[in-house]
Amino acid sequence: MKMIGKQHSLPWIACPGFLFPAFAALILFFVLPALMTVAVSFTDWTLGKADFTWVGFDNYAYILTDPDFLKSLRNTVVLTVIVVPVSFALSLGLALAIRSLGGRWGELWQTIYFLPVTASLVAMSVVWQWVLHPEVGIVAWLLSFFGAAAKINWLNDRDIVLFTLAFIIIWQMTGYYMVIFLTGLLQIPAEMYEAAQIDGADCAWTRFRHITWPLLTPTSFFIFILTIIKTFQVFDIVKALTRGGPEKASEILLYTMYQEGFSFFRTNIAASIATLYLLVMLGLTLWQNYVLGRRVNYTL
Amino acid sequence: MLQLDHITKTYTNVEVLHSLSLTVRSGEFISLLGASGCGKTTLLRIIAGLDSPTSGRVHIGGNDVTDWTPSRRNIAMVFQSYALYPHKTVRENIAFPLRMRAPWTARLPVWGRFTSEGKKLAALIREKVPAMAEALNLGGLLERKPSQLSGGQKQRVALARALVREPSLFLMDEPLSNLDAKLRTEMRREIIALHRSTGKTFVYVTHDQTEAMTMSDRIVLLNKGTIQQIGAPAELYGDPANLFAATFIGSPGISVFPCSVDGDGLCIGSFRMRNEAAWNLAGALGPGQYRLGIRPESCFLCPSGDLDAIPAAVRLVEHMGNERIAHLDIRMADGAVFPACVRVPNDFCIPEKHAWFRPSWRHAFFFDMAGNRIRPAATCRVIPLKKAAI
Amino acid sequence: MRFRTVLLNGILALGAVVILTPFVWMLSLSFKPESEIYTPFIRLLPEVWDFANYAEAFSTGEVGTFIRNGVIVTLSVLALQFCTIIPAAYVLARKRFRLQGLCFAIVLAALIIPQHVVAIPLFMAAGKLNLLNTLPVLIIPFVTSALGIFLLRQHFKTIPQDIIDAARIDGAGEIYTLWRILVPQILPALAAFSIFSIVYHWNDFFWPLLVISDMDLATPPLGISLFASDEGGNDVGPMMASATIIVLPLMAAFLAARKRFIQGVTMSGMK
Repeated sequence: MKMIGKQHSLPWIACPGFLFPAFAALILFFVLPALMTVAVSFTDWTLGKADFTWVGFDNYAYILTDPDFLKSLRNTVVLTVIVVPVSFALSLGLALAIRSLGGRWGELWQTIYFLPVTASLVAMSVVWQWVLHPEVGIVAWLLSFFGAAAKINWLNDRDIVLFTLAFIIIWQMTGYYMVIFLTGLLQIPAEMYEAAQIDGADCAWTRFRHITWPLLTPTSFFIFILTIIKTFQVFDIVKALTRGGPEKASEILLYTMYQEGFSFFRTNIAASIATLYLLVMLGLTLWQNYVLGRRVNYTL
Repeated sequence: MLQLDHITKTYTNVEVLHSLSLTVRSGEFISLLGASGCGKTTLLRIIAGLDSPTSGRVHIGGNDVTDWTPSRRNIAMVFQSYALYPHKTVRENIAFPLRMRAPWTARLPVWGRFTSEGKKLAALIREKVPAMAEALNLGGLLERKPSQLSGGQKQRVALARALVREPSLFLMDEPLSNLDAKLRTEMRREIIALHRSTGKTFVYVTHDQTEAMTMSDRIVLLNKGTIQQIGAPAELYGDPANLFAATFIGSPGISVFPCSVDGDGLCIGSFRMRNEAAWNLAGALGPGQYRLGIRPESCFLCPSGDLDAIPAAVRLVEHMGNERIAHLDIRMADGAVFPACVRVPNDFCIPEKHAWFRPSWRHAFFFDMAGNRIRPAATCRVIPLKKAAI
Repeated sequence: MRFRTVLLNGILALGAVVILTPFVWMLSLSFKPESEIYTPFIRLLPEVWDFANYAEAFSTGEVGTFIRNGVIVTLSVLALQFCTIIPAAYVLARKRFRLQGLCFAIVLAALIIPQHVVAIPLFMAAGKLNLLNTLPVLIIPFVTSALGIFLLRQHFKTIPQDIIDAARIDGAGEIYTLWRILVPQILPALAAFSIFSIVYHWNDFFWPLLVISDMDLATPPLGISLFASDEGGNDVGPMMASATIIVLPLMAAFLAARKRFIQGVTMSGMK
């Protein structure tokens, strides 16, 4: 049953009627458009133009010297650098705490921390706008309660805005990573901990250091890559909250692509950004698969 | 009834069945016996129509069914894993073959129930399913799901599902191998009784020689995709066609020794046999190299003075209750050691370390170096054992 | 041990306050009349409970339209996805054919390609076909799901071959076997996938943003963003009411079937 190919009686295709709808759609809506995006990135074509010429890497040369794009790239990287370690540590900590509590308390906290994952981020952006409102927001009120005089404009201060966005992203996604960590923790057999206790690992830290952490490595790596992927995919809150402002201080990769492609209609530039973005996603996914090998658990 | 005509099956250039022919009589219980990988399951799947042969034809009831679908062949099959539909109750599982054979109008959702065919089907199910369940002691279990049944009950449901629609042919693929030992003996008897009461043709695949020997009218012994021997259980045991058949059947297994004949008579390994029977056999066989097979009940412990006594070291004695089995090691002059098994009655003394034993020459089997059976000339005819002693 | 439990619960409770603040604030504002919103004094509960915000959300904000569009889109997408992924996943899992490797490679490729990358050509195609600003354009690109095929294929693989053979011997055809024998056995996987698909398409913002500009055709996230940027920018009360109505269905589903929901949403890190 293991041999595939090379057998003469093996047909080229089985049940074409069953395969056709799905594969026609996959090719039409994923594979071909992706190839077209890559192709357009090597042309000077823009929306509405009748013809085009191949320009090689000109578009890439352009965006990689364009200060606006570089700023957007820098913002994306900064955002990733803030979000990845914080949400990683927070979600791991939450998972460990909830696992050790267990029972009803554990379930309660798990439910609460997962709540933001289910909410539409666009709708919640509208809410955050009013939570963070410099005059009548609850955060401003709290600050004044503790005696801070300055009104902080969380979403309109170019030095702060990225941190604010990072905070909201972490607020939304930590519960998501937490439940994946919890799944990983549940897979560690209880006997391991009992054995460790008998062997003299009395303190919780020792058990974490010698049992939990090593056995959780695949999950940890999975989440590490996942946080990067998810942070690169951030778009909704930027569009809904800041529109990249103020002065492009919160402009990130996907938002730049959206602007170029659908506001300025510089399709070739947008396609180049999309291609770079695709390469990043591809690289991260392949890295993940390479490291985790066959252990990649898509069905966590 | 069932006729296989030069069936060959090739997977990725590997031939798993080599031009295999077989005729099964109507009402016969036939077992396909062999180790795993011998092609017995592939053969069964070809009979069922789940696989198609690379070449050769399958005939059932006089029709060439080689290109027929499994359902058109009207066969029933019981699987090793029972293959019950986990989301259907026992009642629905048993009714399923009836439902599938009803005209399509009866099977339409909702609407089908109001057609005349639908009503006929419902009546048929009401009549047959409870009767079948009763016959197999499943009376109280009709509303359960397979996951709520024990192994033996699942087995019965699988049988009921196979029996319910009166197929022309029953195929069973190791149906008992997932049961524990005690249940297996019970189910063995039930299947025999079922065969008797239905009078249908059964083709039974197994790797367990006990099942094959106790249940079958005839056994087809397979090895590496070829038929080694076809025969009644007693024939396979008492008159094996080749070395493979001789070693495969029997527990404890047959003891095999190298054997040579020259001008001075017959030798087992480096031990020359000096009695008359051995001398006669040597004459009948003619000079050459052979292999000698002796069943455990066809050799005896004897005094060292016997003319055909072979010295051996006693390795182990197993107590079986009604008898004992002595495991001996025979060391030849060249240092090679050959194991031998001897059945010893309880009242017989077994020496602790060293013993002598001799074969019963009338029940010894001779094979050439390729493993084919050689039957020495009539003067010293080997008389096949009548009783299958397992 | 007791002390540790109390300490952990305390820390987790602090975090939970941060997590819940926006939700509480959203609810609070949605019940407050406008006069209570613009005050520097923060009160959690409104002095006057005002349901007018909800009424206004439905009248000027058209939140009912958003919800209706959202339901149509998510359910159509899900139904179509079922029709395409179940047969394809079955064939990929249980049949052997020479193009199998290629087919699986296509699935894996589609699994990696992010929605944002294919948006440009799809947008242009939709424009060419005069589909912009219609509901079908929100549905058609998602008629199949690589993730769904991948997931169901794994589950179809776990079903013993014996059951499929038994169905064939009993006389069931290929289509009957698939839908009536095999699909009932992978219902948990289908449920998880349904939740994933519904959450994803209910909350999807990027694609509707590109192809829909008409308020009447907006899905919930697009609708509320249009509402917030257009007329409702300062109508805080109705906006919060809209947000509440949009967030509520999935949250209720989550609270009702917590385990399955988590399983569905975290099914993939890919999307």
